[in-house]
Amino acid sequence: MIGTLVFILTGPILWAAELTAIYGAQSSLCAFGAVPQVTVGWLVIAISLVLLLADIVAIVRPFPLFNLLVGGSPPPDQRAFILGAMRGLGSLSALAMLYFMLAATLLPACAQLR
Amino acid sequence: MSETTNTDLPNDGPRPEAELEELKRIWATPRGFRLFTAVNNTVVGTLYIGAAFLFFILAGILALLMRTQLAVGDNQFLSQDLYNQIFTTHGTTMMFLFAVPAVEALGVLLLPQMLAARDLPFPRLSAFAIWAYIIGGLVFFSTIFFDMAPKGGWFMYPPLTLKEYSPGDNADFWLLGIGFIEISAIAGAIEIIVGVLRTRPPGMTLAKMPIFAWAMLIFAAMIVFAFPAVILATMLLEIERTFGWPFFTAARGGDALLWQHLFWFFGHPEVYIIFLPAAGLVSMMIPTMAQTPLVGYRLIVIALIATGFFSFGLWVHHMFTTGIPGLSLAFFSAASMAVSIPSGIQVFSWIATMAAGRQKFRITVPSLFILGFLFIFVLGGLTGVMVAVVPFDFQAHDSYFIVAHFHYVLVGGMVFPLFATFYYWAPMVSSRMLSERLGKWAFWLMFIGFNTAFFPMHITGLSGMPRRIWTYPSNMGWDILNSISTAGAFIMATGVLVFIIDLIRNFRLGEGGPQNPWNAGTLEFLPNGVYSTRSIPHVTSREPVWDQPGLAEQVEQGLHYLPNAPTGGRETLITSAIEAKPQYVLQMPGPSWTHVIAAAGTAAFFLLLTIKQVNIAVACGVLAIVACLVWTWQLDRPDQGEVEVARNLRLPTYMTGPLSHSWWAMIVLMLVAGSLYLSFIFSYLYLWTVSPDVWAPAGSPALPILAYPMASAALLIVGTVLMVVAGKRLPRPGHRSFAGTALLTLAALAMVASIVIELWGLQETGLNPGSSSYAAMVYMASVLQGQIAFVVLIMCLFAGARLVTAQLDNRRRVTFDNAALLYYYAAAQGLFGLLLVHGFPRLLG
Repeated sequence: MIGTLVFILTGPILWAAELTAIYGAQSSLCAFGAVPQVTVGWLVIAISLVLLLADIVAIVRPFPLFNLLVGGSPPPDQRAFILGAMRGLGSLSALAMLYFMLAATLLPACAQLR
Repeated sequence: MSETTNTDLPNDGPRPEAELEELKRIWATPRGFRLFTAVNNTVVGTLYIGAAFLFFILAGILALLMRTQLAVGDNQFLSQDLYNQIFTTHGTTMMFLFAVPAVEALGVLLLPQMLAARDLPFPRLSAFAIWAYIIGGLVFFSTIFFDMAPKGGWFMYPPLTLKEYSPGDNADFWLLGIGFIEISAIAGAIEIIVGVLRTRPPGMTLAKMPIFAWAMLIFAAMIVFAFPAVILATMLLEIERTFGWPFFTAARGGDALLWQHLFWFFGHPEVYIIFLPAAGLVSMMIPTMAQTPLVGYRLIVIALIATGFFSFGLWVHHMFTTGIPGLSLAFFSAASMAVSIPSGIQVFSWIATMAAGRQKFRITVPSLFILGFLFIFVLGGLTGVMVAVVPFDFQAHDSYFIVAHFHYVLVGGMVFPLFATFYYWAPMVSSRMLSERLGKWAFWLMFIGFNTAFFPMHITGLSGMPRRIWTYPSNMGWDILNSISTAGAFIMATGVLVFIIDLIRNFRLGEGGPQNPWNAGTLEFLPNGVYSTRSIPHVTSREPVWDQPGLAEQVEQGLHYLPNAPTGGRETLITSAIEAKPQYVLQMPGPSWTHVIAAAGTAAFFLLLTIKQVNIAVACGVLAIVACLVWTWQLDRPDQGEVEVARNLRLPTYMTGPLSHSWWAMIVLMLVAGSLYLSFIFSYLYLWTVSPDVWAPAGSPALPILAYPMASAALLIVGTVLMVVAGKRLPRPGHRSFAGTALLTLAALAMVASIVIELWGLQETGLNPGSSSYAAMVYMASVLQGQIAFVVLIMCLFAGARLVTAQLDNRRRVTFDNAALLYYYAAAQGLFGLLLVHGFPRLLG
């Protein structure tokens, strides 16, 4: 059961991981001035790209992921629902992840901007 | 009655008359004074929604007082101090005592009926939650009459709410009073998660679940992950106010923004926690009004889940003006826009459903309130997207534009669906329907009044009027718009009054009301008694009443599952989470005074601490614990073997391990504890980034020598091993085990000793928790560990007591499993805490 729920939530989980990673990295690296802000910006974009691609792969080829998480195929009477829900959530999450990435391409990483 | 042997139906008829009589006897509602002990979801849910509505009225009256004060400039109707108390109490009551409890109440009241379950899986737990809420809520609200109400706003930002600027007990009433009401909400959330996932009728797969069940599942999951953040925040602030540990004081390395992060990490999901159940209710009512299935069921499920998830990524949009760097703000601006997409999906789905059923769509009071909801909520959503644009929010933040926005989304998004719900579902608990005539008056007064009150606030806000001001100069040009807003507020109040008159005239608690007056397709409108449905139906579609001809009669004749009470007590079916296949019969407890006493004791403990009556508070806390122990001693009934629930289907009456509903409840509780601890880890790391100068190793006394944390860790590991051994050595049924009790006691003491050693090591270094935020965080790790260790100690000793009384064995082992699960979690938390406190600074050094 857990596997099925995690499968359905693949997109949002990847989205949450992305936000945690990019906000955590950007805010702490900028706070300490540890690396140049250009590097921070590219790091945010790189993390976003990796997770976005993972989401897209999961949407396009869901069955290996389902097999990994659940160990089998979806029950026939719920297959359409489970796959549809996973793909729908994945698509919305991909759009949201793209929004994050766009922000990093458009804005400097550490500046106050006011 | 002729015999019915329809092999398509789970059971044969006619059923013996005695079965029905026994069901009525077992599920009878206690009478007279013993009504307080009732645990039936219909009784508890009705009381719950009644209490929530009372708080809505009380907070609404406060709003009228506020609007009277603000009707004209330079007004002296209320003093500044009283106004601050009133607006704080208004917001706190609406958000904590009305909105979340109201939707939770509807879950308690409606979910078992929608799932054709006889009750929620932990009936006494929801009854405990509601009594704690009622007692705590009434005491909290009463503070306004004694000049003791908090005055820092419903969000209670430090430094205003620190002792220096908020002396007295006012703020403590918020911190301690609301803190334990949140615990009440978490108890309800555990109930709802397990109920939705495990007590559905056979055949009701995830794909056939009512939308409201999806909404409540997501609502409850959101509570599990969001509420712990504000619980931690209230703990930190209360500890700072009481003991001076500087979590939020910049001079000693703290940061007031930490409160904002923690509060809004809870606060933004909170508003979706309020909205999603209302959206779920709308998704149930529109198809009925349109007499057509919901268009886009799967899309709405996706939208609900996406909204729930994305809402956790928006919180910084409440902090756009706090000086956070631009890219950080942009992330949350992006997420705030992204979250509007799933909300839009729902709106279009509703419109499409009404369009699909437009030939049959009925304009009734529920549908009027739903149309009103659509109009108002969409307007609120549009202004929400506006304020998601960071530069616009720089202008609008803390102005009346924001007041307008959130009232449009919250009143539109929750209050209007709530009133629709009252009119739609009243027949479930009332023998008479509410009045269509009075309902239409109530709607139009509320709709016109609301828009008259709040639309002008967009303009006053853009004209520069700030929030949370008790008065304003008459020469600012805001007078006329404020007067219009005040008039609108009173018009809206008149609408609510009309509704109350309707309730008084027509609402009559009891059975015998119209069966399915709206011709709905879902299970809550099946024939119901105190035992819920006579039998639990096998479901084959999302609208089973529409799609399964004769279902109501079949269920009433007992031709579906569990038409009787084979164990002689209160029961319901437990089914699998994904495919809803019957798994076992859940034996449930009935009425009792124990949970009432536990609730009163818990409320008294927190409220007496607020007024610094520590000894009496501790006594009440002990009473609450004793009541809980007596309560839980009555649970875990023995296995009664397999019983017949349908033709050729016998199910067990006891389950252990990962299939057990009790195991699931413990897992959810561990998720709550884990969320709380994750919030703590965030707080620790956040304060380190803010104030690295006070952090070890450079900014504080030397760390304890490694022997201390290693000894502490060793004790946790030893305790874990003892638990594992105890689990493998549980006695055979009917036998006692003193050795097992000893193992459990030693394991619990090992956990306590691990904390003692950790504190001893810290004391040796001279680290003072009041000296810096770093020191405060280090000791806070032990505080959190101590809290969970206290619970583990009680559970282990309880399990030990069950062992020596031969009520716990290698088959009847739920009590041990629960204690063990929490032990393993607590040990893992402790080990991680030691790594953080002793490892992280060494890594820096």
